[in-house]
Amino acid sequence: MDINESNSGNAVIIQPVGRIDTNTSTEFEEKLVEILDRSETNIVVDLSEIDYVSSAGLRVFLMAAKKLKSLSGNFILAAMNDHIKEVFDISGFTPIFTITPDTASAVDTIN
Amino acid sequence: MAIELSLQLTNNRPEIRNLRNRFDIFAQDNELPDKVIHDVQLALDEVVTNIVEYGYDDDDKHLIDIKFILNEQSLEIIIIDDANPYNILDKENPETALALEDKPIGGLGIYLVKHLMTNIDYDYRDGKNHLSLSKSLTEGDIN
Repeated sequence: MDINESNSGNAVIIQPVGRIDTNTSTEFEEKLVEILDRSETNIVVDLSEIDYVSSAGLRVFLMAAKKLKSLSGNFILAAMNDHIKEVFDISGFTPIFTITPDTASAVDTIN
Repeated sequence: MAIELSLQLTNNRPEIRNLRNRFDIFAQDNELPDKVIHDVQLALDEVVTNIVEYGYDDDDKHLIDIKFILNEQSLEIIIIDDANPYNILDKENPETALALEDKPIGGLGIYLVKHLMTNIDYDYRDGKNHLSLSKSLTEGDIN
């Protein structure tokens, strides 16, 4: 899967493209682990180019959120579509994640 | 009149990608609503991944039959496999209202399928799992 990466202030922004499912979740996880290994503690995931997230993707989000919480960092999910939002609601993920309408407000939250 | 598509997969991961691509084409050809496409793709990913990853005790090649039946009211997906008997309706629902620290990693896939599909039927006969998932085309977001 294509994963674009950029920086804004103290935040690393990654933008995966397509679907985070059984086929792609490992690649997405490797990308997050690589960023965490660089001791980055403010990560924004721009979901504007993601169609759907299956449970394999939810697992990766949860792992990253737990890790960054233990480091007193920030893990923010920006620009998710309504279908993904519903999956988050069903899974009980909405109250435990920081979710913003776009990446600009995610970066504002951090800086 | 119902429109049907029958596919046969083998039990390996790249086949899940093929299934996804075949359903995408079927969905486009028949102009299915976005919400239906999303929920069915997610359900297929969860269910077929479970079969491929956890369903078999051996390393042999197995066939999985998948049939899509589209009519005016709903899309039905019938999945038939010779994996170990597994009724997703018997699977206990996870506790979802937990704090981040307490939330277990995993266990959400089948729970999502149960929520996103309109109706689910399961039967084990002739040594095979017969799972039927149905998604209404007309009731919008009401599941």
